[in-house]
Amino acid sequence: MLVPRIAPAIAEAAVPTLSGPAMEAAVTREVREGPSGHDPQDVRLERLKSETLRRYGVARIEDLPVDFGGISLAHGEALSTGIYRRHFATLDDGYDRQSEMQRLFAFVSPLQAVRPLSAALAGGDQHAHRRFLEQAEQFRFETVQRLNEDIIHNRRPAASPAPYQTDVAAITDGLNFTPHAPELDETIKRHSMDLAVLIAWSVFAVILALLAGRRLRRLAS
Amino acid sequence: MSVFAVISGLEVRRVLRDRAMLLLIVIFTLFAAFAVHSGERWAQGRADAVTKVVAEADEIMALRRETFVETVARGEEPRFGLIYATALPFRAGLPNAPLAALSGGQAEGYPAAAAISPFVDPLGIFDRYATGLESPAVLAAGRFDLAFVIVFLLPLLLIAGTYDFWSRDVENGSARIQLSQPVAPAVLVLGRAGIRGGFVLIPATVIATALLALTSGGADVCGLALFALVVLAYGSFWIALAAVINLFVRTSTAAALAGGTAWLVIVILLPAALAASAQMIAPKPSLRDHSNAVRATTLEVRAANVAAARAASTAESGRAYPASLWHSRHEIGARDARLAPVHQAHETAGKCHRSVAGALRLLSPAALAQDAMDRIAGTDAARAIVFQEQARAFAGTARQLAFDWMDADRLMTLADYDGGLPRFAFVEPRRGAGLALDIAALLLLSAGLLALGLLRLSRGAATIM
Repeated sequence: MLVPRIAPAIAEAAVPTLSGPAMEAAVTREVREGPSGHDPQDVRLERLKSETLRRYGVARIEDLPVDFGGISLAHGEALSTGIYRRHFATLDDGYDRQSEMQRLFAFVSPLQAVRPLSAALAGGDQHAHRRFLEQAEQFRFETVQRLNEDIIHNRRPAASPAPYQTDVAAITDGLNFTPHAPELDETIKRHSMDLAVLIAWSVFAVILALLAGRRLRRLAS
Repeated sequence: MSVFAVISGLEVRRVLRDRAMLLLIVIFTLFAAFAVHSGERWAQGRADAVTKVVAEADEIMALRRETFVETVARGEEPRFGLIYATALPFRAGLPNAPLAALSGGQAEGYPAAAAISPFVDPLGIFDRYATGLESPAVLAAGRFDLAFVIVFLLPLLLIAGTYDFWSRDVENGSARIQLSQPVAPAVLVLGRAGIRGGFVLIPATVIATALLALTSGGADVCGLALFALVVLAYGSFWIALAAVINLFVRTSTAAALAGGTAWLVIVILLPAALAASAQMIAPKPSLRDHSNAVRATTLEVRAANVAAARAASTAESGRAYPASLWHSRHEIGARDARLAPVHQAHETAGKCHRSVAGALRLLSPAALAQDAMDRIAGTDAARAIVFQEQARAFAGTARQLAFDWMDADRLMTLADYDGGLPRFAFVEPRRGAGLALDIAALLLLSAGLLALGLLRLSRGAATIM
């Protein structure tokens, strides 16, 4: 009863992770000032503009054969996605380190080995959840970038006063989200220590039972 | 010297000679100290997160002001989000109550902040903060706070200290000698239970209250007093239960088994069964279904207005605010009207579930004690709901402000940036009848057990030997 509550509290104190608002503030700051902290958004935009003009060999944005707004969107999406992924990876690594720390308490309470193993075998543990989120995020990114590609190649504000319209279904045709759950052998390998701890507890319980039986026989005789 | 004084003196001497009693106090103190430290850490983290959220609005406005000044310095006219009241950002945060370190309660099941913007659905202002990034292992296991120690551990210590206070004497025959004295059996048995249990309960209450007072800096003296009352009421229930068990069993082993089983049923099984029953009788509304319904309805409204939106994107309004914003103002009215029944159904189902769960808690001393401590800590559902109501009212005020500016063709100026935004201020609700009901119910359950004990004792001394 006590160890399953105390262990996570100790692990959380030893390996603290960012709160939601703190992480959002960190991501917003990086998006605004760049990953290095010295590369503001407007400077990045100017650099992208220069690179694009150079790539297409034109002097003005209006002369580009593609839509610069779409290029800016795609570039911004890639940058912000990279920043978010890095921060979430740090967060998830923190959770993993907390789990490792809690595993140490399995020598005091077998429940600390049972819970993570049980959740993993049911496909409902942190690892499975992280894997699903990463796959969903990749799908989201690919979908958004495909839409941005269409904007790059098909939006022509100078050529036509009509607002940009497109067939989203056609663009995203063939894009299907098919998550892959962790394989059983991978799960068992990842939780081999939990299995070892549970086997050790079982052996310990059997030894205690045998000793108790021997003592009872001695008392009876 | 009165009979009761003699009995008390004898029991006090027995308790003082029993080193296990001191060990129980030490164990409680260690766990309570760690629990208070853990609770304080959690409360501080939550307060920091809410402060950060509330500061976001000021940070956004500071950045916009900087851009406004730079734009004007370049000789250009500030545009779009820099000048339109419809883009004003507001934040609402639920501050911690003074004794938040006592219990995490239901705080993590409700949003503690809101991101408000004039055109955002007033019931969608909490979406951004509906879930935090708390450690999933801690969320799954539950917080190790002082409320947990009181609800789960204190009964075990009280059982350990009192489980055999009478059954041991019945076993070794000294009960007959005691009952042959000119003393009422009720005074003898219940008095001894009270003294023995009191030797654990009273120091535990003092220690827990002192630890809590240290974290809160002595703020909320009334809350500390109520907390002490809750601990005493809950502890009295367990002492009364130990007394009743001892009146029915004949051996220490049976008393220990009965005490342990009672703890398992009352602290672990009964609250879980009641929660499951509440879910069966009045299921909690599905957040996912609600979210999907809101999204679908919003998209339907948008689809129905797409032609008008397209026209507004290029039309001239002839006013300070562009036609697209006037169209959005009209569309959000239609959207909110369509969303009203969706939100209403969700709220009604949630309210129904809370009512049923609230009524069922009266059957469980553990649930009553937990609920009472959640209310004292300000981490109960009722306070969270009050925050949501106040934040939505503030969102309505923010929207009306933007609408008034639109109607007056008023745009943001530098003076408006320097004047500051209207701010949300949470009005603390009174603790109310819920806490009084919890304490009264606990005392009533204890009284019920005492009545059962007196009934048993009324059958004569022979029944308890």
